[in-house]
Amino acid sequence: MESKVLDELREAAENPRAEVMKWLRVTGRPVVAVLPAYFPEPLVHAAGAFPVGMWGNTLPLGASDSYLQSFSCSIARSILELALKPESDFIAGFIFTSMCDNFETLAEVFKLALPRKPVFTFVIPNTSHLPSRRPHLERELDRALAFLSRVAGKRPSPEDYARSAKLYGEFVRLVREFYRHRALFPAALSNYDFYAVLKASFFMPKEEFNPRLRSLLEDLDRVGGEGARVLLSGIVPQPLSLLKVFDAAGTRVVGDDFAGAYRLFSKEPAAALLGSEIDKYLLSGAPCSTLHRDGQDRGKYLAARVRELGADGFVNWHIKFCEPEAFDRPHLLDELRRQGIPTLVLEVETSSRNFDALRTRLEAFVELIRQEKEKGAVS
Amino acid sequence: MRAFFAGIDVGSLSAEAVIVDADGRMLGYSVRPTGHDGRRAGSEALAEALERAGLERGAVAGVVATGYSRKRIAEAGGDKTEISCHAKGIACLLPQARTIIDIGGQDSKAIRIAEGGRVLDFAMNDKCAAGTGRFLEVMASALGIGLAEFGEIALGHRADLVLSTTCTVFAESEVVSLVSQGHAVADIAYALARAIATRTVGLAKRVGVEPPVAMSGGVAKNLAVVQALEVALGCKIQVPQEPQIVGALGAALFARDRSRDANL
Amino acid sequence: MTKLASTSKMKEIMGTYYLEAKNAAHNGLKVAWVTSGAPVEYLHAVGAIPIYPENYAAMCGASHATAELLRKAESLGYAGELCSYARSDFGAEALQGGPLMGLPRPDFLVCASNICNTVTKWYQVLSRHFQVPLFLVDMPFVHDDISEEMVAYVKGQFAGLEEFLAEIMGRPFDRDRFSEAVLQSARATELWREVLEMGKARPAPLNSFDTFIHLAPIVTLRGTPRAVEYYTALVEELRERVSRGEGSIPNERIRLLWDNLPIWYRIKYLADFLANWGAVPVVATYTNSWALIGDVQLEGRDDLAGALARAYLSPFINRGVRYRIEYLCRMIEEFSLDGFLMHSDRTCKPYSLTQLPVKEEVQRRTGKPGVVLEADKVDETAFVEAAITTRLEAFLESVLCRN
Repeated sequence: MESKVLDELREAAENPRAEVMKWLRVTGRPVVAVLPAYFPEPLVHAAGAFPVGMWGNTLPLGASDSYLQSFSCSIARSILELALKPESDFIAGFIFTSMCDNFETLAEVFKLALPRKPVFTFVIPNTSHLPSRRPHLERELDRALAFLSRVAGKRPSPEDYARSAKLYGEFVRLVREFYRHRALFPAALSNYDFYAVLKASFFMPKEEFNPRLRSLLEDLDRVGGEGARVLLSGIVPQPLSLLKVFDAAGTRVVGDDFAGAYRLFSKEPAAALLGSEIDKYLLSGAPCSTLHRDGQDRGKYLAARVRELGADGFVNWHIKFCEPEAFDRPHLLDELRRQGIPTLVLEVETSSRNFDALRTRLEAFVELIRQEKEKGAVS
Repeated sequence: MRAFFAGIDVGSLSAEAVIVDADGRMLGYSVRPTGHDGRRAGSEALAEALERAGLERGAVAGVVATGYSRKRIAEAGGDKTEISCHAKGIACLLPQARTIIDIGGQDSKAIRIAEGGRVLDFAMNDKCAAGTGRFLEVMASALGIGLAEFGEIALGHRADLVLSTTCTVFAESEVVSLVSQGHAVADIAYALARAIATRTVGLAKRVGVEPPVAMSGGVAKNLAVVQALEVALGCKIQVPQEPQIVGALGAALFARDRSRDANL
Repeated sequence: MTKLASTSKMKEIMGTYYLEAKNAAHNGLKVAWVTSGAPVEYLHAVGAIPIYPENYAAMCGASHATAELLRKAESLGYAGELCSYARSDFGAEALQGGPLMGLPRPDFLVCASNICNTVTKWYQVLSRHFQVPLFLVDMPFVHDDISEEMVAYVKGQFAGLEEFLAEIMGRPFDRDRFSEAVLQSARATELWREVLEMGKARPAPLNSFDTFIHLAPIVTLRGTPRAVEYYTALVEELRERVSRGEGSIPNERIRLLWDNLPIWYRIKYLADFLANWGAVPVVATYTNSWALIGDVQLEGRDDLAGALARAYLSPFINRGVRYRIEYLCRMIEEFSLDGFLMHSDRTCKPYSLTQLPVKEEVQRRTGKPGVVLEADKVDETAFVEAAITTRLEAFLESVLCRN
């Protein structure tokens, strides 16, 4: 499909820096980088800043090598690489969460590598004791607001926040509509374009993104198309260009379970400036490898989603050295296989660009799915 | 009677020997491939260096070994690490240098030194071969060119290619697919040089780069890598005439110091 | 390694501990698997037997039994990039292998995140595998200072832990036994600190490699009289060594700090290698952490849970870079050190990933050199001997050159 809006969104996903600079000029709002994962982003907006999602990039690693050993995940390494560039100096502050050891320590490395940059870590409660969560989140909210008023110059009022929450509520509604359309009519957009659109949302103010997505949704064809229907799972769909390999191999990505995509957008923005509302936000939506919930079984959850989406197979898109994902993987794959769902693991780094080996594996996987389908059709 | 001293540096790819006199003047040297037998390569390098210096084995009053095989050199009366030896060697050849980048066969290092070659800090690459002489060797063979001509070919690059990885295994397949996509060998070669430079600068910054910067080790002969490093560091790099023998020279100077200290 | 009479005593009490644990079910006792930084005083209060999979993984590493366990874990799908302790235990459970033929099956799990987030993932796997309840005590990473609110958050969870234990054990939580366990913990911790501070003597009567070994009781028996008894004797023995001027190595010339976990399968090798140079680590951030986590200020006895929460938030691995830098500088000063060794453990991110910039800053502030050694706590394939010895020798050459 071709459209002006799609071109514009694709361009934003492919040239994040230019896109962010453009909106910085237009809005004059200070840019605050929101790192993985689950910081309640409407807070940043309500404080008058321009939140930009930062989930890793394709830069070759150099300067970051002096700060981080090679067993850090490439999401963290590439974010540091980018932040160290003089061209990134316009970023007013960086927001981390306690999602994993790699990012907790990255926040600390930032303090030494970029001593003048304000850094904040939001501590997500991961406890079996639910009553402790709310008072803790009241305090975290307070700390977050204090940080934002320092970098954005304004402590948002409940009214400011209500306006931002409404905007973000609209945003997630549109994105979920986009996903629903995708599951029904996966041939309307290439896999690459679908994720390029989602990625573009990281680099645009939601006031600008929402109308564009709305208009794109109106124009989308309602075509199903052939191909192996797959569900993708992983921490983040990076590098984006790997999706072109999925296109070429004849797969239709009908849904995903990325922390940096579906898991994020499945959460309901906090309705008000209250710890209890932030708690509801964190507990809402899809389960995540980085969020502890007692008794949670992501294997069963994902198998159910595969069925619900009518997917033919499951692809684990693993970014090397992502520990939370790697810990869950054996269980997920066992459960999916037990339920007869074909699975494939692809390992990449955010800067990978040579996909020859992955292409072969993906094509073989598609062949396997076709064979299963034919077998199913015969029997 | 005049006393002479020898240093032997046996690394993974090449073995070097240097002969100096009591004043630290270099009288002869030798560079040979290590092959399978590091001990033997060290002995042969020593014999060749002696021959070139016009000396008999008996004229040598002390030998210090360095490099990965430093503990296995029968001729040596002692050993020192490559870090100390490169520092010592550079301090003799380029006394002003304050930072040394050494890219050897299987590791690369950055060393910050004070006057006289005292080591202030150093860093070495972790165990993968990315950004080492071995990496270049593998890539040259993937490109179908000789290691000796690599630098010159790379300097003839026109287009700006960027490699996505410096992992030896992945980079090799990336190079192969770039070749099959029809990219010019010169462009790929320069991209490789730049990939090494990027990695090395990351390493060098761990110790803090203080100019003047000198470079030692076999890869310093690769002009494309040196140029890419200069661009990445934003300063000139001094390369001694025979960068490969810096470690062996340092070892020879340690042998001389050792005998001087013993005679005090 | 330093020859200490206490070593055989330690082997004896550790043997008894594991034997009792193995027979717990037989004796009608409940077994809990816990992390090394879990508030184990709560378990002693209810008479559950705590088992420490981390300690077990370290034992496997020290006895070179890990390779087979890691291979097994890999065949189960656990990638080589994951914590090698976790992988060892997954492998040992699957094979019922390792030094004790595996660990006794847990009745429940208690995991505290004050040492890493990795344990959260690890214990989720255990909970699924054994189909037993898991209580997760969230102890946030301390980026700046330990705040009152943080302490309150952890205290709140301790209250939840009491309820959890009461339900599992089927009887009310015993507050008197809890106070007693906290008291025992505080005493053992105080003695452990005394042991570690002996390293300040010149020559040091014991070194960090010794403390790695003698750490076992403070980790596994903290909260019981046995740990107190053991360390009372060890302190006594070390005092005598100090008064006789007996060092842990013959010719102590270079005094160092060890940062991060031990390289368990090369302790003796590294000890001998360094001793040949007259070099010895006399203080370690790793063993020091157990002088922090049981460090309950007893004057605050009316609020034991609060004091315990504060203590358990404090280990080195749970602290930000400013604390780490200041701590290292202070150790260098207090222990009169010539330099520091940083083991960069490739499967321990929270301990290792700050080391490069921290090293730089500590060197700048103290003028003392540090060196980074790339390895892994128990995965022997990560240890490249030639690379390690070259780095160590170059480092030692530069230390001697400065002295």
